[in-house]
Amino acid sequence: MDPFARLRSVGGRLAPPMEALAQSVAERVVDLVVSALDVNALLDRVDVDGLLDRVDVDRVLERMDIDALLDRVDMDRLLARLDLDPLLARVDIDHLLSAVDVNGVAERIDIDALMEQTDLGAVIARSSGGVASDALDVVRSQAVGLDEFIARWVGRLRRHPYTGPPGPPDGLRAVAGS
Amino acid sequence: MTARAGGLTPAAGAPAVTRQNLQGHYAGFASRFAAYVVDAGVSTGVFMLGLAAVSFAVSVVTGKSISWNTSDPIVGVVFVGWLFVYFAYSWAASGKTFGMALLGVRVVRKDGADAGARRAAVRTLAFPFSFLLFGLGFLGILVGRERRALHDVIAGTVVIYSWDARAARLRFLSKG
Repeated sequence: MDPFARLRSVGGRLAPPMEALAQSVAERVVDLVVSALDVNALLDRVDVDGLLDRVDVDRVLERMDIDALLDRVDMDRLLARLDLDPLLARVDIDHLLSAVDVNGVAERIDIDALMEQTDLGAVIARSSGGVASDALDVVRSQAVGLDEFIARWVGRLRRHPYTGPPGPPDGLRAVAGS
Repeated sequence: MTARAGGLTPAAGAPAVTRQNLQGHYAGFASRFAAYVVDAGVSTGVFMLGLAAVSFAVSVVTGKSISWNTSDPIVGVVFVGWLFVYFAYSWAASGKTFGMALLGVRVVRKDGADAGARRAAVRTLAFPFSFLLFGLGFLGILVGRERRALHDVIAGTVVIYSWDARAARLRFLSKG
């Protein structure tokens, strides 16, 4: 018969009560320590800036799978929880529009390309005059073309490069610019 | 449907300068000369019609027919008076004669304000001086920065485009 078998049998019976006793003692000790600790004082002693300086945010971000994170975000639910009305009420639309250079935006529009790709031309055609108006446009356009032709030739003869129709007078600058 | 179905459009014949809104820019020689030719024709035609109407009225009332001699000094004086009224009244009232309205040009003061009756009258009276010395008075339209003829300088006026070339171009494009 194994001489240690009896001892192992006694040890096996004593182990569970000992573990339970050790756990209860440990819990009691932790409770006492935590209650004795002044957490605020402890946090005051922590140098958060120094701690953050030691964190390599780039490396953390590199390790993050942003796509997976975004996949887990339920945007519909998030938007449903957003109350946009108070946000919009705080936006000063007039101020916003005054900061926009509408003329600059308009100048960047290629009207010809726009006309080619849309039915805007048909709208203008319907809203504008008839045959007489078209004939006037043709006559005036041809006259202006001739004006430019003459002006360019005069510019060449005078050795002054022609840069386009001069003007307008000071009092008409706003009209011409519109 | 697109605005331009393809092929040659009216816009293709339009000068590139009409991409801009020419409104308010100084009018060039061709536009002004064409306007003057139209006005010369219209004013003379209306005067001849007036003479014919007077002849008809006299023949109806008195039974005698009158034949006008265009070299008669009285007819000449009446014609000059009529030209003064035609041009001065048109420039004073709207800044443009019939021919100028047709060509889309307009007379304004040098600063862009309406010409007014006094400047219109002065411009009309000074107009013949521009024809002197083989039309030397018109040279300013070709070489001047503000494209002013002699009668413009005397009256303190300029001639500007009064039509929106860009809008016209859009109409062209829309009908291609």
